[in-house]
Amino acid sequence: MKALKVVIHTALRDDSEALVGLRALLAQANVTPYGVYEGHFQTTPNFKTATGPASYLTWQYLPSTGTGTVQSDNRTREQAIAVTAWSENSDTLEDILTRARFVLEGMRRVTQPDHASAVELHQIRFEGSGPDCFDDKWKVYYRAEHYRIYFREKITSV
Amino acid sequence: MPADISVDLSGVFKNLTLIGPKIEAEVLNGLDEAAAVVANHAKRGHPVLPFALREIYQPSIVDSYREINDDGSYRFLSRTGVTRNSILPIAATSRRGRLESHVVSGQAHSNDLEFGTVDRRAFPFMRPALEQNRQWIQNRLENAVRRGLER
Repeated sequence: MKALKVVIHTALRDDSEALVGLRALLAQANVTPYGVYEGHFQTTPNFKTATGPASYLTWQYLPSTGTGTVQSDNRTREQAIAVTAWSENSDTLEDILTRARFVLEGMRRVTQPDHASAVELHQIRFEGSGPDCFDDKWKVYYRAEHYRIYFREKITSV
Repeated sequence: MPADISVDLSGVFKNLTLIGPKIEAEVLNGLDEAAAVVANHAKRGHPVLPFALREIYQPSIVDSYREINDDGSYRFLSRTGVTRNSILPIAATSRRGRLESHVVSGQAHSNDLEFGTVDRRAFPFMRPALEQNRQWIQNRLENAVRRGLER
């Protein structure tokens, strides 16, 4: 499961393609951790940087995701995740979410966990969008989109 | 050379129109049950903070009151129980052949709880409740269709 988190986070964070990549869209190409956070913002976010408006992307596991199969013997598991984009500009918001979908859906830009890790990734599918929301305090639009990850855990005796 | 065969399907369609409402009734029952199950799950595990702790907010103490999901993540904590108690299943409906049931929360800030805000992390409770019971609901609806066919 840890390997799974690393893979998702790396795929979103390291999409550094010029102009269309997530780093460029979030306008945080030079600032670690490039505007991508797991779960929630770590520090006070800054939506207005010196170079212009910046956006953020957060993602998290949705708890209580079931096994997905009636027979759990084959250990094919599911994990739902929510990817949320935060931006002052609703157009940018759409672009970020579209790009995130491009990165994740069908594992287009997601690399398999390496051989040593105990997870084998099968598929990532887009599932649906949450409502369009507006954060009153920071005056930003945000929306969550849901994905379902299909993976297999290689369980060995310890 | 193709044989001259005709099949009269009118009987089949007649049967289907008879079966339809039966399945629909069964599935509506199933959806009602599913909504109740999801609503109950979403309501569970949000204890009300003791009165003395409502004013002094110390994360370490407050966190010890939190219920924990299967995967170790926190469920949201209720202060007054209003949000928790406002979660309701709505009776299943059939509109133009589309069967729907809803689970709603009556509080406006439930959106912020479910999806988070810039300042507050998300404590998803609605969608995990659906996730947890997905398999059960699928089985229940399968049974409903089967029962409708057998009726």
